[in-house]
Amino acid sequence: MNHQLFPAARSTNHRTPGETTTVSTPTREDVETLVLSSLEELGAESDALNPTATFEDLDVDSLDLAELSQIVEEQYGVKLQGEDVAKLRTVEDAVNLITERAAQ
Amino acid sequence: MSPKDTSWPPTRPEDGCALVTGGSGAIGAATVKALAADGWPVVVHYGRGAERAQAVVAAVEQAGGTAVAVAADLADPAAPEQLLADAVAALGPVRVLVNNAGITRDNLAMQLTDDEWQSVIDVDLTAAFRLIRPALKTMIRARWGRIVNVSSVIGLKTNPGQANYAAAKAGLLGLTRSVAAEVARRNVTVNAVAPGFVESEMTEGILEGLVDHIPARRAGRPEEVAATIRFLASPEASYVTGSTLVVDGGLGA
Repeated sequence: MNHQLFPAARSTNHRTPGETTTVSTPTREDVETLVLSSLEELGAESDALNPTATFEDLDVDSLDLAELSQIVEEQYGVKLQGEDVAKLRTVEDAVNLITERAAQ
Repeated sequence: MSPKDTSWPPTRPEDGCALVTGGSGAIGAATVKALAADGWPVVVHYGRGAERAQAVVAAVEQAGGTAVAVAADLADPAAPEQLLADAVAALGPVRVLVNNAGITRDNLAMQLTDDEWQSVIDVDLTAAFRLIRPALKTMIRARWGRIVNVSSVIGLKTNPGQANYAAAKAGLLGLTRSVAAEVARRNVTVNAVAPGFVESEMTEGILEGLVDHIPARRAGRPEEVAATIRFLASPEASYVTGSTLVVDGGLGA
């Protein structure tokens, strides 16, 4: 994973995290929707966003992925550790990992 | 708020609170009062000084502010995260975190015990990290946060007999710079203040011989340190991050 800090994300999100809410197990489609919308919120170009896109191509860096982990934890109660996230290369990798963890 | 939003004057979240560790000590109490005067509800952490912490809360309330005292033994590895959770439960998301709690266990390095070393590192450095880690999660999501670590001139200069304290306080400066660079583009700032010799319990009885070495020819007031923390916690300090503000009457000049 690329640890270089890329130029600022263009997020306009004002949300603050609330209580972690554990909902019923999300489907893969749910996870993909959340991941794609979160990455867009974090500044990834919507035109470039697709499951096979790499985080490097999307200019998504380690801080963005740490924040994505936070969103996933708030949404599904799934905790992703740094070493989990470090292995992720594509959007699909993230969707697969989160779906798998949420089902456990 | 977008990281590129440079509108002026900058704003701050309307909800949430400030958390000051070691809020019952001299610098901590002055900081609590300064932040409360800026309109922050403040969580006053204390280790042992329950009565002093309650007195600080009473002073804030008398001035029309809001404060609550929360006890935690920061040497306990689980305590910092629990303290943060208690603060959130009491007064909402922590928008301003002031890592001020500190202890000293002085001894010459060759006589310093493992316990004396570790206890100072645990409280003065590791607890700050253990508070910063969970606090950042909320701050980066909110696109707003202020972290101020209270270091010391001892983290910059020398003081024989304080290898543990100097290591912890210098460590805080490295921690400050590294975390500042990580989260700057989320509008979260991380800074340090390095007080010199300030009138407090920690310096009681040792100031007399030291004053002659201070260009200002006096010890600092806790309020003078609190004023710098207040600035670093303010919305207007939005472009100050990774810095160390030395408050020492010219001692290190």
